[in-house]
Amino acid sequence: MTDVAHLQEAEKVSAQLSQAWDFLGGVARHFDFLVEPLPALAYAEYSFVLPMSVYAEQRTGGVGVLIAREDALQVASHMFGMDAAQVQDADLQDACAEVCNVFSDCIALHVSGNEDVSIGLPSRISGSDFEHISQHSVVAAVYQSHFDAATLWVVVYDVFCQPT
Amino acid sequence: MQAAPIQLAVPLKFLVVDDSRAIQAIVRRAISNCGYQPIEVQTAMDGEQALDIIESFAPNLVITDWHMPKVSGLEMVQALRQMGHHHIRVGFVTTEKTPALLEEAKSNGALFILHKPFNDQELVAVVAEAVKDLIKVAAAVPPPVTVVAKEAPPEPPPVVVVKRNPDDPVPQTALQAQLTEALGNIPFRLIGNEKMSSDKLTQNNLLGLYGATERKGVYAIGVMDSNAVCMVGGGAARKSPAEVRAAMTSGQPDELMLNKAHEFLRSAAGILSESAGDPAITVSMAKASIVKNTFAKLAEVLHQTGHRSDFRISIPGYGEGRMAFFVMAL
Repeated sequence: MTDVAHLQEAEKVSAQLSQAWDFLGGVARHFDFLVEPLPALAYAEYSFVLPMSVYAEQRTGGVGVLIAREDALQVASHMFGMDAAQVQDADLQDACAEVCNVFSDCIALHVSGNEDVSIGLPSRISGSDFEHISQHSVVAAVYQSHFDAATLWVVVYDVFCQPT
Repeated sequence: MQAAPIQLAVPLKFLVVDDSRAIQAIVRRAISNCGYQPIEVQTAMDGEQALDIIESFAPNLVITDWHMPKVSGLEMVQALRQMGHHHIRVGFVTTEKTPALLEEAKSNGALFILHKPFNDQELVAVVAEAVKDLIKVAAAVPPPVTVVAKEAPPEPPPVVVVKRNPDDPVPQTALQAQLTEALGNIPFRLIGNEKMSSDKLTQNNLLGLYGATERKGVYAIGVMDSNAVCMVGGGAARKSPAEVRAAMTSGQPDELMLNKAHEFLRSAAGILSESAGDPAITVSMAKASIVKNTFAKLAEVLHQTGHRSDFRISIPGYGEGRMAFFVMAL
């Protein structure tokens, strides 16, 4: 894929992530595709990953979403239709897992035309899990979205190594 | 301004199946915005739980996710149809976009497949379309009439001509027909040439010993692993997927499953007779019993290189099992 085509694809992914966040979080929000050099990614309180098997290329990629508490509250209160003050930790986890799920689908659409991609189930990771993944996986793309003080990261892994 | 709700004579019942409570909440909210009253909504976290709820709740419409732990949305719908719930309407709310899988959902009667992300109006529209004829029925419920259904005469079993081939004593087409007779309308897939070996055996296995006229000793042996016993026996007994899966997990088929699996092995004797070649012989099952995977004779049989037919059976919602037939004395 040429650089121009790659950027065009990335723009489509950004647009779909924005649309997905609108559905999940109830607010319009822009996602930027980051070009090299990529920033150091920091673990967030609600970090979720999802493996993605790309059969045609015989590899396991993945998607990670790093969600700060402010964003987790926003998305959970919208999805459950309740005040942020009423939201429980289990609700935050549930909502963020679904963010990971829906975001992964936005990305899978652009991997092998989604024909040969099998998406797994989202799981929450700890700080040490994140360290392991960061050290052993290969990042293909990073998208970020700022809203107030919070930054939401979406990481696409070409090669995804989750601790066993 | 919101339109006045449509008052129904009987509640419209929805079952929302999703492993995310957050998505359940979104779907529930959209349903309540459809403008029907009264409605009843129940939720399930996966396909297995949904199948249990459906038995007692009998929803008009099931709105389900696809990717869920234990039993997926598609497996749940397939199991639902196997259990005879052909009238229960189903729609998917999912991220799944693989064309072949979506086609499979449609062939199992999915009324709609709505992709996430969606907006409430889109969901309201597909739900309204899916239940619109029920709304008319509910608005003018006719007095109950008891109708005694006249049963159609049973269709004769398919006639399968078995070719004589000692190297393939149980041809796949013949076993397929035998399984269809045992399982009725439960869809299954029979895969041939899947060699059964000691390492693939389950702890307990059903062994059938066949004798034949004009032959001394054991003529043939049939082996079903405990998964195949649970699936074929449970399917023949019309057990629910949950019951069959529980039996498969424990490796302990109940008595009825075991009896039905015995019957199935017994019925395979007909195929063995047909394929025996000249001179014609009649094969019958002498006995069947449960043996451990460590049973020495079984390991010996599994090493046999020819005169055997091996199969893997797959039933959506149940799982997979293995069976094989060996001719010992030609």
